[in-house]
Amino acid sequence: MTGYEKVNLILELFTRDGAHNFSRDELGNDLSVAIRVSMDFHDSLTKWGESLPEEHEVDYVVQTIRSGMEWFLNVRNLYRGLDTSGANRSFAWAVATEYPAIREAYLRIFPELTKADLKVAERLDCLLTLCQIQLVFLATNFRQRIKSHRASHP
Amino acid sequence: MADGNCVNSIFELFVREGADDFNRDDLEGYLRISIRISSDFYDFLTKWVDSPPDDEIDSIVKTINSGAEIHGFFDVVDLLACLDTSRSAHSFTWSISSEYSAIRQAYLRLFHELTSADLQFPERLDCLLVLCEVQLLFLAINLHRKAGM
Repeated sequence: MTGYEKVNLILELFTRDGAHNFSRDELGNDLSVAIRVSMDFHDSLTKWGESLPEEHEVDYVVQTIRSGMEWFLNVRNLYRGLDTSGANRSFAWAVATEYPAIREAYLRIFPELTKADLKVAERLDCLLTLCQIQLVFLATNFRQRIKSHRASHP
Repeated sequence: MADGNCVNSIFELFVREGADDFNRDDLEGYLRISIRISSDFYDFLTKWVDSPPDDEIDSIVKTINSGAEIHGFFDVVDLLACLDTSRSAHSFTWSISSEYSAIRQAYLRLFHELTSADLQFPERLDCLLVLCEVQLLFLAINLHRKAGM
């Protein structure tokens, strides 16, 4: 399955289970953007392997995450508006700041998003945890822009 | 809300040390937002020694997000990237932690360094950048609070 197909599948699952919870705008904008940015980060971590690449590549991903921040906060608001009392699964993550730990957690949790048997609150919990991991990555790597700039302007 | 005098006095320190390289308007554009938001977060941490209420956390998370999303924090990064920091004698580090008490302690210590009179321009900018970094981590942790603090 391509990344594009995965994004569509995840959106369809949210639409299937959350049509009564989310407006068309929330599905088409907030969730759609957050899922696409999260998919991009998944692809980057898969490509990079266990070591961070050169600074300009990290900076590019940091900027992509930054572009999704508004939508991440909207996802947070959606989650807070849901009744989560029926959720059985939780995707809590013990916050870590080292790249290998971030990568391991993200690649472990991301596939859960595509599972058909999650409830909508559980799937949103999963997506929000992925957004959180991306923000931790952004926080711990936003200085890479300095190294990237200096490398290209010696 | 940050004390306007505090924001102004920090900004004037940047203007004083950076006058050879930057005019006031440029610095205003690059730094004012980040100084203001960093001061707001300082006030938040000063007010809440431990266990801030949810609505207060929500408010400061939105404030920090506004500083990271469009301009602000990344302008500080871009400005520092253009500077020669080879003569900087001070460096500002903190042990990254997800615990509120550790974040609070580190931030309050670093913020006081930001107001120190004897820093060079790149050093003060580096200090501000570390403060932005701490705020971004606080934002990340509190995006999904049950997984954090």
